[in-house]
Amino acid sequence: MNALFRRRALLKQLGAAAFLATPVFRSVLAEAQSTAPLRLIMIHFPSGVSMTSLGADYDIAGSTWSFDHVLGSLADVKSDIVIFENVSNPVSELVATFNELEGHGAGMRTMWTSSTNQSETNWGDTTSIDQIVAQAYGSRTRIPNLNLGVLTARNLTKEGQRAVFNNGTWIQPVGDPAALFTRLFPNSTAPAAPTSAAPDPAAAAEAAYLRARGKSRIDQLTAEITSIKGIAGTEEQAKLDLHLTGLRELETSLPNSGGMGQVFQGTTCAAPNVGNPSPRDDLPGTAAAMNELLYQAINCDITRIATMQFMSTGDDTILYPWVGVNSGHHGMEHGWRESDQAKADYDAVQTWLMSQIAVFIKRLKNTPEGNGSMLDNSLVLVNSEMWGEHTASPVIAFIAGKAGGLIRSGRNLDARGAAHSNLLLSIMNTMGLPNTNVGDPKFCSGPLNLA
Amino acid sequence: MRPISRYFASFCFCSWGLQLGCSAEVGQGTKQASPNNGMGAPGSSPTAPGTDPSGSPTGSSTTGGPGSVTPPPVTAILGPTALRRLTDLEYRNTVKALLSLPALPTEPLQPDAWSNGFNNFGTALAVPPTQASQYADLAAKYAQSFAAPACTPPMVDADCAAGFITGFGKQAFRRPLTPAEQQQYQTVYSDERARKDHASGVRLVVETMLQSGNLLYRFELGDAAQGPRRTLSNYEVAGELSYMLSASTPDASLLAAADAGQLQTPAQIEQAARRLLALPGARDALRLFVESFAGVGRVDEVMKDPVVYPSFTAELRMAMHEETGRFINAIVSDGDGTFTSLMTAPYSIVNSSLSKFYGISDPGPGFSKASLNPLERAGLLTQASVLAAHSKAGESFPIARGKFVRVGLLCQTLPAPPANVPPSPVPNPNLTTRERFSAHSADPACSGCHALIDPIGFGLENYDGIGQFRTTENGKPVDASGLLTSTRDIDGAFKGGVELATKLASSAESKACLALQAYRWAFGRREVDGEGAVTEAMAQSLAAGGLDVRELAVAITKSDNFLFRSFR
Repeated sequence: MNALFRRRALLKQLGAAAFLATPVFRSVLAEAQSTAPLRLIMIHFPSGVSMTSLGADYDIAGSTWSFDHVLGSLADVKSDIVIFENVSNPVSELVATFNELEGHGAGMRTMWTSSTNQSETNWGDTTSIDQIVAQAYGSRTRIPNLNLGVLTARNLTKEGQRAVFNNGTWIQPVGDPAALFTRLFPNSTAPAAPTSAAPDPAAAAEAAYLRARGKSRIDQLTAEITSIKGIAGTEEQAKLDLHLTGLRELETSLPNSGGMGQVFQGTTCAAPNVGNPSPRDDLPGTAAAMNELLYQAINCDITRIATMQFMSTGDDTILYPWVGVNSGHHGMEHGWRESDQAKADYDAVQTWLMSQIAVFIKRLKNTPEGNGSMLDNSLVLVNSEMWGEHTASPVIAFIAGKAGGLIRSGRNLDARGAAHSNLLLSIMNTMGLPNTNVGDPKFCSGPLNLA
Repeated sequence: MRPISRYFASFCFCSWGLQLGCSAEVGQGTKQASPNNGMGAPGSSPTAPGTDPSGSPTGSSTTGGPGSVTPPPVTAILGPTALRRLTDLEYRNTVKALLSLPALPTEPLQPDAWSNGFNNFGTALAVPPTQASQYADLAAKYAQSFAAPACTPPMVDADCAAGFITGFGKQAFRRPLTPAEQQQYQTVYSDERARKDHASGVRLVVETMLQSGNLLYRFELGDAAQGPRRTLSNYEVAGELSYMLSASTPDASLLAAADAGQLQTPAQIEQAARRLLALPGARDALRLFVESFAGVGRVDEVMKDPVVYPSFTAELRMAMHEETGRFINAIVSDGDGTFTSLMTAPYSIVNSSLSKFYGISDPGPGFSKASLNPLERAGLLTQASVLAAHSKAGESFPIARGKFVRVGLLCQTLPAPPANVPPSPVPNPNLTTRERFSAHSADPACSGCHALIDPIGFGLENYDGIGQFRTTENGKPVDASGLLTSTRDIDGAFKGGVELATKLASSAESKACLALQAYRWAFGRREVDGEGAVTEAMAQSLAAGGLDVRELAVAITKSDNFLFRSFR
C-alpha cells in the first residue's frame, strides 16, 4: 500500500472523513426539476480481457489509450471514458476459497459488493452498491432499479451469474426480453409526457376503475407479505422485502399512478419493438433487445439505476458462432497464452462483447439532454469479474459518462493498487451518498478521486 | 475428418493439491455449517398463517388424543426450514389444480435458480419484481376466465362470496383462512362488487389468491407457541407431502385428512405418502428428483461445436432429455423402482434420432423401449444426456465427468479450487483427450486432486462430447481404463462406463449418496451438522426397501424431520 493510502486509512480510523480526498456530493434529492437526473448503470462482461488486447499503452501510466483491439468500438466515445489501472480485488481472492467456480464466482459475488460476509450458500448481509443507491434514490422513478442479464440463467454455472444482492438475498437478473418489456411498459406503451389535452371521460373512468381494482389486490397482497414477515425468521426478511419491492412496483404500473415514469425530455421515449428472441438460441438478438430495453428504461426515466450482466461467466458451453467461435468462452481465457487460435478467439468474443456494451453507451451519448448528452449525466461502470490472466487483480474496469460533471473523463486513472472497494465507494459518493465504506471495511480505505 | 479441438480448454481444478492437500482425504457429506437458516419466529408474532386467533394450530391438535405422537428427544438434531417459494412446475401445477385447467399454464416465469444441483432450495428462490409482475399477469389472465359459481336466492351475493372465499381460500392457502384473512378477502370482494358486479368480485379474489404469498411460499413453521421445537400442523404436513410427492398443491383427499387431523403420526403420513406415490403426479416429482441427481437438466443449456458435432441439433438435444425422463419414469414409476435398475438397465426409451445415435434399429414414430448394446451402455451414467451435459463444447471432459461421479454420485466433497490457476496445457492434435489431460495432471501442482478425479473420467473416454460411443480418437485407440480410489467400497481398476456404472450400483457409498440427495431434495436444503445419523438412517431404509426409490421417499416422510422442526 502506498503512502497516500496508508494516510487515508489512518485518517479514516481517526474518524477524520472530512480530510479525505474530497468526493463531491451531488444532492440528488435537491435536484431542480429542470436538471437532468443522474443515472448509475453497472455492466458486467465475463472473463476479462487479455492484457495485450486492451491496447498497446496499457502499462504507460497517464498515457492516452489507443482504443483499438478489444476496445475499438469505444473509440468514438473515448473522451467520455475513465479507464482504471492498478485496481486490485483482494476481496475476491479471499472469497474464492469457497466457490465452486473459484475466481469467477468470487469475482461475481464481490465485484459490486466487496463483501466478505458470505459462505458457499449464504450471503450474510452482502449488498451490491446498486441496491444501496436505489434504497436512497430509487423511489424517484417508477422502478427503483433494474437488474438485467443476457443469458445468465444457467443451471450449469450458477455462481457465474450471482452479482446483485440485497442484504444477503441474491437478485436473479431478468433475462427474458418479453418479460422485461411487460415490466417496463405495462400498458405496451411508453410513458407519456404531461399533456394539457382534455382527457376522454370514458377512458378516465375506466382507468380509475382499473386503478381501484388493482389497488385492492395489491393492498391485500402487501398485507399478507407483511403478516408473513411477522412470523418469518430474520433470515427471510430480506427475501420478503424483495417481494414487497415488487408489489410496490406493481402498484406504480397501475393506471394514473401519478407523476412517476414521466419522460424527462419528452421527445425520444418509445416502447421499442424488440420481439421475443430466445437467449438460448439467439444470443445476439437477445443482447440487442436487452440493450434497447435498458436504454429505453433510462431514456424514459422508468429507472435511473440498473445493472446488466452479459452472460454467466466461467461457462464453457456458451458459443459465439456469429464471430466464428465454436468453443467455450471460459477455456479461451485459460488457453489464450498457449495458442494463437485461442488468443484470436478470445479477442473476437471480447471484442464482440465490448461492441454490445458500446451500443448502449453510444445510445446514451447520442441522446441530447440539456446542453450535452444523456451520457454526460450518467455513470456507466463497465467491469469484468476477473482479469485476462485468470486472476482477480488487477481489476479491468472503466467508467463512461461524466455523472453530471462530477467525473473528469477522457483519461486513465492509476489507482496505485487500491482495492476496488475504493472504486465502488467513489461511485456511491458520486451518486450522492455520503457513505465512507463499501463491503468489508478492511479493504476500503477511501474513495478514488474521479473529479 | 473431425477437426481437432484447437486448444486446450479450461482447467480450473488444477493445483488443488498444491494448496489444499487433496490427497489427504476426501470429505463425506455435510459441509454446510449454517445452523439455522430458517424460520426463527419471534415470540410476538401476529396471527400466524396456519393458526387461528387463539394461537392453536388449525386442523386438529397435535398434542393429546389417540393420534398424538411424541416429539423426538431434545438431543435429536432436527434441520431448519427456510421459506420455500414454489418452483416453476409446482406453481403451474397448483394453478392448474385450483382452477381445474385442462393443461398447465404456459405463461413465462423467471427460471428457477439452481442450488446444489436442485431447483427447489429455499435459499435460492425468491420473488423479485419481474417475477411478481409475471405472477400478477398470469393470475389476471386465468382469473379473468374463471367462471364464478352462480349465486341463487335465497342466498345473497355476500354470503355466496363468503362461502367461496372459505372454500377456494382453503385450497389456495393449503389451510383454512384465519378469520382475519376471511374478512380481508370479503372486503376485496365487496369493494369490487361495488365497483362492478358479483362475478368480478369473485374473480378479484381468485386473482389475488393466485399471487398471494400464502400460496407462493411454503411455511412449515409449526406453532410458535410450542417454542423452539415444534410439531408441524396437519396442513403443513399436507403441503410438505404433496409438493414432495406430486409437485403440486394438496388434493381434496389430502386436505380432508388434514381436516380430520390424520396427518400427525408417521403411520398416517406413510399412508398418505403411499397414496400419493400411486398417483400420476408422483411421476413428475420423482422424475425431477432423479434428473437432478443425474445432472440431466444441464443438457438443455449446453451448446456444442457444430463443426465437431453436426448431429447435435436442438431436436436431438431435447430428445436426449426426453429419453432420460422417460427412462426414469419407466423404472421409478412403472418398473421396479430400484437404484440398481437406474444405474444398470441395459435399455432405454428412444426415438428415431436417438436410435441412430445409439446405433440400433429405428423404433418408428415416437419413443419406445429399446435394448442398447450391453457392452456400451448401462443405466443413467451412460445415457447421452448425462454424458453430453458433462462435456465440453467440442470434446469430452474427463475432469467434469470424474467430478460428477465423485461429488454427484458418491456425495464426496472436494476442496475448493484455488483462486488463481495456471494456464492450460498446450493442445496437441496428435494426442487423445486422455493423453492431453494425463500430461497436464502429471504436474505436481495439479496431481493431488486430479488423481481423485481424472482416472474416473478417463474410464468414460469411450463417450465423446455428446455421449456417442467411440473406440478411437484422432486415429488412436481410446484407452477407457479407469481407477476408483478413496471410496468406501469400490476402490480399484475398472474399464469403461458399463463397469463403472455396475460398480457404483453395487456401492453402499453410492446408495447412501442417493439417499442423501433425496433428503436434500425433499427438504430443499443441505443437511446440517449432526444430521448424519438421520441421512444414514435414510440410506438404511433404502437398502431395507430393496433399493426402491419410492420406498426411500416414504422413509423420508416418516422421519422425525418431516414432522418436527427446530428453531432458534
